[in-house]
Amino acid sequence: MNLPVPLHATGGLYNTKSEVRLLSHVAQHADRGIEATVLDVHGWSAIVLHSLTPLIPEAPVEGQDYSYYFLFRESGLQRFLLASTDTKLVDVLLDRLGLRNRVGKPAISISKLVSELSSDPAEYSMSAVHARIEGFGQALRSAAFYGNDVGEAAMFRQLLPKLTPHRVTLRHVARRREVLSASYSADIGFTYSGGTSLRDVDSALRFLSKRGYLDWDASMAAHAEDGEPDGSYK
Amino acid sequence: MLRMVGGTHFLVFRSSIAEPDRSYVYSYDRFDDALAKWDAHSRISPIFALEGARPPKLSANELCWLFFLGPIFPGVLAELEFSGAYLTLGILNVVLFCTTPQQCDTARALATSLNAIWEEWPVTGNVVGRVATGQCAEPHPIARELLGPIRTPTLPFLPTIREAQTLLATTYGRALLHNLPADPILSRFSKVFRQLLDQSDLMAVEKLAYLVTTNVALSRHLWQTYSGSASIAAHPCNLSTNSLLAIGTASLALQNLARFLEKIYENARLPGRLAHLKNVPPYPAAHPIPLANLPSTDPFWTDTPLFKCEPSYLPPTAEEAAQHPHLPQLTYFSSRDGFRSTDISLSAPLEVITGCNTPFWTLHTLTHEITHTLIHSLMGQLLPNLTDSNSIQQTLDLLRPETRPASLHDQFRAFLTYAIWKMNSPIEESITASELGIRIRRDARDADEVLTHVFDYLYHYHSDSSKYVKAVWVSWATIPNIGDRVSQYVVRCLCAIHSNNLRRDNGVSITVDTLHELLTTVRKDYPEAQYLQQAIDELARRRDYYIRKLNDRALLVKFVRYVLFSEDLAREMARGRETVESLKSQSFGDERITNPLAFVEQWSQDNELSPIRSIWMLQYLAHGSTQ
Repeated sequence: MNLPVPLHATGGLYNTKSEVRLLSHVAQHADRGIEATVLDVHGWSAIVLHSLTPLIPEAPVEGQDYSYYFLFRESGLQRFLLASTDTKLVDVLLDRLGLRNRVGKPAISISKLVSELSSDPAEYSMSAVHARIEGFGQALRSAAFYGNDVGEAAMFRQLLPKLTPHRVTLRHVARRREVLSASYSADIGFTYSGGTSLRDVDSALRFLSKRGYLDWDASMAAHAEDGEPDGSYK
Repeated sequence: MLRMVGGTHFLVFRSSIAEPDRSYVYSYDRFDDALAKWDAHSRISPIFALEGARPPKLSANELCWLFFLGPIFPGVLAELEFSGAYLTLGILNVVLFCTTPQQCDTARALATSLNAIWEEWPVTGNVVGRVATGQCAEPHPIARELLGPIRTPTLPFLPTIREAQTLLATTYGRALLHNLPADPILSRFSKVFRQLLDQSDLMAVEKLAYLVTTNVALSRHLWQTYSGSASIAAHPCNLSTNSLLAIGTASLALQNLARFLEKIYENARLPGRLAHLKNVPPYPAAHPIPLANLPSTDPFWTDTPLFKCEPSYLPPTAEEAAQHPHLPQLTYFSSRDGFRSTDISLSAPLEVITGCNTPFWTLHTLTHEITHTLIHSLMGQLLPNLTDSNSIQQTLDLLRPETRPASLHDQFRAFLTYAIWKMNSPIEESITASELGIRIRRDARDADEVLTHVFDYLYHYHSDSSKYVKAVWVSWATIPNIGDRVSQYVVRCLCAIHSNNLRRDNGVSITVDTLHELLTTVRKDYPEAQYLQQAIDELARRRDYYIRKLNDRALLVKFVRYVLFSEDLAREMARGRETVESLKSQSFGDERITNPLAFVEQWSQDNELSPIRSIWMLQYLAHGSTQ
């Protein structure tokens, strides 16, 4: 399976209350136009969903099937990342696999992340911060900041107490590239451009997890560590 | 919209002793053709066609005219009603080719309406007839203060002093003659220079050095700017490839860019602000601690102490400015000096004239030289006077933990001195006054380079590591035989980039990785740029060495990032950037530029040298800038 490159992937992090091996569900649905391929990067797979009709609003192409690509990353038995070119496609796939009602999403403490990256910067900088602004009613509701290192700007740090950040894009400082965007509700986005970009996503998620910003589920963490210490984000 | 299309042609002027009343002018579309007919009296200058103009046909037996005028912004020539129009590098930066008396009248009317000076050459069969001139008939009086004596030990200096006096007066007069502002630069220079030479604590030999440097800079500026004008025939230029019309436009471009930055820093009053800290209590007031011990995340640093001493960033009042007059730097081109600054002069290489559209010969490099001058004055204020043992001892006392600093200024004196002491002796725990003097004398230049690189990166490259690394390493590639200095350049570059990572966990390591990544990228884009591979190999091979060097210089980086840097001042530097982005290369419209530095930054990104694009840039900088 040849994934289109670059692929601007958007989706989410998911957890389940029971063991759900998404790939085995995919295997069961091979006859329904869903197939998976294991990628070279540990833990990552590509999934393609074929359809005779468009699954998202797009210009119809006469006499041609529609192929939708997904990136899947398993982390332990009850956690995974699933992303595609459109968030709606992720819901469609989970629906088709019968998993939509069996998965939940962890929380990412974006406020804490933004605050700490501003006061004690790390190997990641913030290249975009989206925030709600409370206290001004409908007159002023939100703000977004862009740059190579938003937290380094004194103006941003001065404003921060007035902001409620809900989405942030992390940039790897030394490699000078944006790696991952993440929201409070564990919606994520990244650009797939080959194996390196997937390893970058792994590192960023590991950073979020290690620093305590991404809390999958305390009761599941020990299980995951036992099961797959090297391949998980913990 | 006026376009620079049609290529480069050449005007050659010849007179001879054999025919003292006769001179000739020829046009060529190839330099080699002009050179083939060269003689001892030939003078040549390139002219750059506008709107596809062919070389002016000067050999015909019918009367035609070459009408030189300037200095003017080419954008005002929107509608051309001539048989040819061209730009030049001279201060008479436009040539109009007229083939009818009506066109001549139009040219005269145009020059008059623009208050430009002009020369009209009637030409028949290449022979130049009686030249008419305009706007420069009246002698311009030289301001009396420029003609007064220079008070300094005279006898051995007398010829040098006289040279300076006459050069200043002539340059001033020629500037007035061409409607250029003489007072903001030359009058002010004369005034502050005289005060400088009058100082009793300056040694005679230092005064002589100042005089010599002034004479070199003024004489070059004078002939480069004002040869080839008023009158063209009487003022040949020493630069043989521009011997007819000189390079006044390039010279004004250089001057305007320098003046733009000078004004910003004059208004910022960094030395004045630093001196003001003598009135500010030390930090923390109750129990001051050495600033070198404060972590980068301490609020003291992010509160921009230098800029906090006043409610906001304000330009100086006229009275304040008069109390601390600033010595403007005299600008000139020099192939030998290249990009170089002294306290009173600033030079750029001649290659800029035909290559400033590329990072190899960009005028952006000038910011580094201008920064050196500013850093000198700040270091001079904070570091001890090395010829005075008491001064060194006082500074050493400030380094003792038991000494209570009297002010924030004292703390910064201790901080900078400590930073320089430690940059090559990180583990040394004590030092004597004489050793401290030796260290500062030995390492101050290196410290100056580090401070300059960081300052230049933060203010003039907007902390954009990618742009900075490309700019400095590509421009270094033009300097021969500096392979043995690559290691120093790597360290300085690391210091600049590290100013972004001071507060970052593992920041030094991240900085080294960043530079390695950037150098590798630049190497791919500019494979022919020498020293890049050497720098990449150095960083990979001696990573620990560079981490150590960077750690030892972190205090210097911190000094610039948290003391000298102000986001308000950086904003000032970026004002007017949007205008330059909307311009169209090789075209002149109504729009003028307000930020010459942003213009240079925007238009110096070509990979290939292009004289036409370079001349377009110089015309804008010289004549299209409204600072």
